[in-house]
Amino acid sequence: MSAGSLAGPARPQVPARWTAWLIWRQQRSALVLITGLTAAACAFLVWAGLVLKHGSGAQGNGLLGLVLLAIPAVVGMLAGAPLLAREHQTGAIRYIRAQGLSPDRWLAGTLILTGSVIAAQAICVGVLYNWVQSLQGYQPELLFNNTSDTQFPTLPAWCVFAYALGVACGALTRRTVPAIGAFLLCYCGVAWPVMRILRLHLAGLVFWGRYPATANYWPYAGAETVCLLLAATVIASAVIVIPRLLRNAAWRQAAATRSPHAPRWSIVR
Amino acid sequence: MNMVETRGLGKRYGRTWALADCSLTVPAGCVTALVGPNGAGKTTLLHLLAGLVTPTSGTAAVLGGARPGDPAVRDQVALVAQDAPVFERMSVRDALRAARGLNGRWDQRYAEVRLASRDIPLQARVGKLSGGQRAQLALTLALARHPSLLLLDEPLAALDPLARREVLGSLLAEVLDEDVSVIFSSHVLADLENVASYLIVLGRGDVLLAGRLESILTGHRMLTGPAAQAGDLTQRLSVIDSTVAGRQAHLLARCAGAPEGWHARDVTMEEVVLGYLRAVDAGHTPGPPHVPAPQVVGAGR
Repeated sequence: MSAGSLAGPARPQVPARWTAWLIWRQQRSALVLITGLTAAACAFLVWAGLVLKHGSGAQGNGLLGLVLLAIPAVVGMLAGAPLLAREHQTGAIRYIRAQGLSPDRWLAGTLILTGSVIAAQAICVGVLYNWVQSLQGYQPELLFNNTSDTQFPTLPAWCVFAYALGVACGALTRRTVPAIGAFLLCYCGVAWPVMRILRLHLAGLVFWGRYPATANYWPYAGAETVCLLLAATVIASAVIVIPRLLRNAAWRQAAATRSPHAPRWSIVR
Repeated sequence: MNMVETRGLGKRYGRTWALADCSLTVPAGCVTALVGPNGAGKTTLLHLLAGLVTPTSGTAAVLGGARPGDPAVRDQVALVAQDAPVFERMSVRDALRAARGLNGRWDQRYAEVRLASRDIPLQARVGKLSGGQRAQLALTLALARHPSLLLLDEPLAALDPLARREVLGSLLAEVLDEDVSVIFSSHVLADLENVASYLIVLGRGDVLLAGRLESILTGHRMLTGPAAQAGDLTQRLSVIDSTVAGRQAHLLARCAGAPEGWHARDVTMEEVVLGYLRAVDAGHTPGPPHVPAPQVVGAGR
């Protein structure tokens, strides 16, 4: 039957700015923490760059690269994994799900807004790192380079991917600490090694099998970035769409299922 | 319009049926008392009606035919969950703003006025409020949405009897002004007396009794008579529950008048509810076996 007749004359929209405010308020502490870390990383990179520019030539920055390598993992741990896990743990998810706004829209809004903020900050760090590397006289080289994950545009893509992966882990485990554990396992144990192996083949795909030259940085980085962003989009959509499909299937299935026993009692009308 | 309609509704968690074969109709405009002991399936039923969980069997419809959780009716169904969880670490003011960001139908002025009249400061942290204040905040967050169907899952459980009476009294006055249907669950029967116009008794996942309180009360009698004849009467009448005190027997029976030699008096809601709950605990099926109980449409096998 038509649901329109039930909805009453006016079904007012939720004001988007208030929903945005709610998302900001819920993610505030995670975002402040990540912004702090970003600011620290940027400050350090600027300092390192200035030292290189006015100082005594090239010096090794492998350690710095390794530290920056942890940025996507930190993003997934701090912002991604707790997002849904915390709401499940505190019971707030039940409150959110019983409100007028569809919880799918709340989640989509949260993922888009928070993901954009994370991407913007990672872009700053990645661009600064590229600058420091260029000062050192390095050709930005993607293959076989331990620090290539910390450059622009791969670093933002890794961060967005890690964020989506963390959110998915939180949706599955529904508990904060297990969510972080599952995320670290998936990210450090599976996603990152797989991507590093895939990189070799990605090069083959991009250059039709010809061995790449170091000058061709952008096609590589572009291909890896596109792969990661696609994976992030797929994961994020799955987190939103799969529960909805399961819910619909459960209602349909239930309508065709009978309870195990007839009522022992009659009903007074 | 039926505010709630369920057919054979059931929910299984693991191997336990939290609610089984629940067929109910609740007309619009009622204050419905949903009673039953702990574990009877009250919370499960309310969560199903709010669209928080999906059923294992059967169907449910709210507001005249919509599936719970349907976007078309989300705005009109409000739930106050048992532990009334709202954002613990936010201030009350922020909790109101958050509700505004989650609801198209939101009456900020109403919410502020209602909280002010209950002396709940807007700058206080939600987590620091007392039990009564939290219950009032949860109710305010639900009422400021002006819902058509308000589901209350033991929101008063944490309150002392005095606060409970006060909260309930003020809530009902508001509800009567608002033209909203309420389904109110509790295991404290005193909460619900003089409040409900419709009664649903759940026990062990089953609907034991459902109907307008008036017709339930007029349809049952407490019969007092000689204990020796109690067995005989049980054969002839639909007796729900019997207690024997000395040579006197008290029978809760579904009948209109008193049989020969017995004295009949009106029943209270508490007596009916307790009678049914005791009977289901004893595994006893009311009524003489040769009188078929009224059939329920859509019952299972």
